[in-house]
Amino acid sequence: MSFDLFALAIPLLWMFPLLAAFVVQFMIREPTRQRDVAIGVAWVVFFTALGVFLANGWDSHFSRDDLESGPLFMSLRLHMAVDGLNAMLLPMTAAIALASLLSTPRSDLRGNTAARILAVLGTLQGCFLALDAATLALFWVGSMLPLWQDTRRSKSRPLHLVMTLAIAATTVALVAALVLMAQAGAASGMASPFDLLALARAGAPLPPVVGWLFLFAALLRMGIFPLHLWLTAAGWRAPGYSAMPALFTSLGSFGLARVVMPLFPRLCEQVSAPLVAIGAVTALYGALLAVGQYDLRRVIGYFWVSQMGLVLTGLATLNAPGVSGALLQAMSSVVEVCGLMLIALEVEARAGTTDMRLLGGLVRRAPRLTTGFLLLSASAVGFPGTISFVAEDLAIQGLLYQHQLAAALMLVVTALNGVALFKAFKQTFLGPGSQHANHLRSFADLRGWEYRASVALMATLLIGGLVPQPLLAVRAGVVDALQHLEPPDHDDHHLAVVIADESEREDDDDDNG
Amino acid sequence: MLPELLSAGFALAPVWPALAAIVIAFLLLPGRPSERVVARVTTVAVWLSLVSAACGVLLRLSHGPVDYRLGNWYDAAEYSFPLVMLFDGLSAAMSAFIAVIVLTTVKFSVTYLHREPGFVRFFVLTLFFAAGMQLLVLAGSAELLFIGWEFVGISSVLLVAFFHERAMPVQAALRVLVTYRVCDIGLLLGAVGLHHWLGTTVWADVFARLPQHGGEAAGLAVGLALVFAAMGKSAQFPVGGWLPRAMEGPTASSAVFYGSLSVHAGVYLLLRAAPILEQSLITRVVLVVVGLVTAVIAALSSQVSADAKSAVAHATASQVGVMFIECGLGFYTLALVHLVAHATLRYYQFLRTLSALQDALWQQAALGRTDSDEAAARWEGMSLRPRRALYRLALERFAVEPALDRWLTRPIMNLSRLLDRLENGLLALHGRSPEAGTGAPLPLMAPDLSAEAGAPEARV
Repeated sequence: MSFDLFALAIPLLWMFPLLAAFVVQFMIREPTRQRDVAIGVAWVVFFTALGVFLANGWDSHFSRDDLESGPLFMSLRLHMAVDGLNAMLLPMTAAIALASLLSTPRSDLRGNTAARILAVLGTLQGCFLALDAATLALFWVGSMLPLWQDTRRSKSRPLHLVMTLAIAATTVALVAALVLMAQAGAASGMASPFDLLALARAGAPLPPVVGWLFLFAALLRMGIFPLHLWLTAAGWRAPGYSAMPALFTSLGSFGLARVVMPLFPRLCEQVSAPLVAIGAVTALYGALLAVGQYDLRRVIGYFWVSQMGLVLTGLATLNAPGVSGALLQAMSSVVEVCGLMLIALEVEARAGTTDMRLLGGLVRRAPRLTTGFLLLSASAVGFPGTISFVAEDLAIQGLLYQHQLAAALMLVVTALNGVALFKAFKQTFLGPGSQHANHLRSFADLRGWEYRASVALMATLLIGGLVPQPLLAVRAGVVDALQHLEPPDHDDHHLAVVIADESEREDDDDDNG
Repeated sequence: MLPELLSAGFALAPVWPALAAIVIAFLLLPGRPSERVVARVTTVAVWLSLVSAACGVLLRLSHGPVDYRLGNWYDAAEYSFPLVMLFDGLSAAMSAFIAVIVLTTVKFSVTYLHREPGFVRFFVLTLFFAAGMQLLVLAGSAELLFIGWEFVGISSVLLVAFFHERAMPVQAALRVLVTYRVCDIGLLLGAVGLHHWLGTTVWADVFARLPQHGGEAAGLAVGLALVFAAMGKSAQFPVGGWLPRAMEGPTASSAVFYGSLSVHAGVYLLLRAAPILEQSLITRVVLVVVGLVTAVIAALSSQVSADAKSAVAHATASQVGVMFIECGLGFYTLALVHLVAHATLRYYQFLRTLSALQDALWQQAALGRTDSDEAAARWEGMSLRPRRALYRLALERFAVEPALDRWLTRPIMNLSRLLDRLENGLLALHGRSPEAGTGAPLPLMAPDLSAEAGAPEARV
């Protein structure tokens, strides 16, 4: 019975929002109704994802498959599952989509923005669920299209061109990787050359260039220096629901852990040290730029880049504390950046600008907004009692084994990020206020669902930080599996444990016997 | 049975204030609670904290030092975060002292801040501070101490910015935060260094393993990192410029933070980590030099300060410098006694600064002279040229801050601006950007501020 429910839940998580996006875009004209339908769908997806997480989040292996039937189109199979790696990302993505819908001003939800948020939600859920490289690539590229479509209409030509280049580069890299995978699959006679689980089990050697291509796509999606331009441009200039792109970066770290690390362990060992260095440089670069900005959205954008550098550094250590911390940091930074970006958008909607030279003194009119920004900032810089503290602690402990210099650099980065966010807080919310800020007659505090969404985000970060063990336990199996990766032995074609757990393989053997 | 009960009671010392702060924060969700409720919750919490501290004193007197282990906060593969507390004479004395000072502050502030708009905020932050200080002194590991350290830091920064409608307190708070964040790197480096060097950050284990690792370079590195952290928190040369600026907060918080407890947290760290500092002569020499330079500069600056709170703040830094010297020379008991006595005196002096003019008038009437007259007389004992030179240097606080700004802050900001220009140039290759980032003129998207246009209305 539970399996049946599960089989229903998995397609619902990605298909329902996509269908709803289509309905909202083409069949509903009234903006209020569009918003109501979108919010209703987001609630359903959120509760479903939460149920899936609570029911199966602690499984460390791909035990629950959906629609693992015959080919759908050529070699593309809708092979999807929930495991420790994606279990937390599913409800988190739905929650952030919901928070975006609830917090976006009604006037900004016109022009089918609600449909775009649902489309991003559906494609991201598809990415997280996919166990098939082709499906993953399809959703991967598709998740950026709604934002790209919006940037066409924005007046920022640089943003549109940067986004176009980012999507084009991702598409080229992923298509090339799929072609090479198909060739390798044909050579080894595999029925499903894109199936990640089958590839992991079979131990069929893939050309390293496939790993490089996926690595490039993941680094681009994470916004790692020097591939970060799309991220800062989106943070600064993206219209309306800018909190959503924060989820894109989590897809980058997810891609590394889902595809690159399990299928290309030798490549990972080779590039570990350079990736640590690149991650450290990215973290420092983002922090240095964030500290000197005058625009609130730009501060958050560069802070975001810095956080992604920290995530990459942790993942690249390839040891258990580092990977565990990085995966946790990838999740918490999404919540923090989304929360901060939502507050920045709320300031922009009320004040008409996020230029901090035109703001100041907003605490008198909006104490809840101010408190929200302060708490999210404290969480973002790893204040004790928040998820980021645990994540940064683990990542730095992971770095200590082999990369002491990078660990020291991360401490400097954390300090710089703290200064950058507090400076932004001071200039935006404290002090006597600029002439412009003092003339804002109708600057209102958080109210209704805006307030509740902010409280929920903060509560998530605080509760997760105070009681982090369950969050770590969810991914413990994945981290453990990634820890024991070994390059395939070409002599006997035996692949070490990659992702699937031992018991499942034993069951398979028994069935075959 | 009794030691377990006393240990459990002592371990609750940081819990009561934290719990009270959370209760008040929850009371704030529906609306502003009354002053009476806030005062009662706070008072009960700090009394309970005092009772817990008394348990600690009893425990110390009856059973000696106790290494109290509560398990791990979290585990991940080979790493775990231990929740461990060290109950010894140092922590028991400090915990009781903190509880008394915080209780006095709360009693004083209930009346002092009556009908102040930030009444509730003040007490929430004071409770967080009390929890942080108690955790700091009871922590049995460097990592747990860091958590208390951070609580003290953030509550300190937010209380400096208490009068947030004015520019100066907010600017001062940023200065305090920058110094704290930079110097906190030292404590973090010390903690991770300890983990890497000795495989543990639990004080009891560290002290047990130190004899097998004497004279190693790692000991010097960890020692210097901890000294750097202590320098920041205790406003020592060259990172002490934040202390006089921190006087922008309410007098009660200035007294408890910068006269009494927070400013001495650095000295407590040195006392706690004394066995590590003793591993290296260089670390001890650095301690003595830093303390000596601070003592001289701060004493002279105190003499020329124009306002009472700044004068007391500089005097505090000067005495803390002397405590650094005492720690460097190995006189740890003297440093602890000095700490408690000095913290009590400065606490009283800060609270009396509100009546400084009245006190001066009484002193004038009774003795025919004031403290300022005596200070002026000391300066007049010098010949004119060196007096002028020294006076100017003292007024400028020996130009330490401008030097730090020039050689540290400005290069970082310049680098930030350079990188930003490069980024904007790169973006401009993709098309003309209508806006600019760092250091540019006001962006074109700035709303029309003309009177006709009026302010933009909310779009919610």
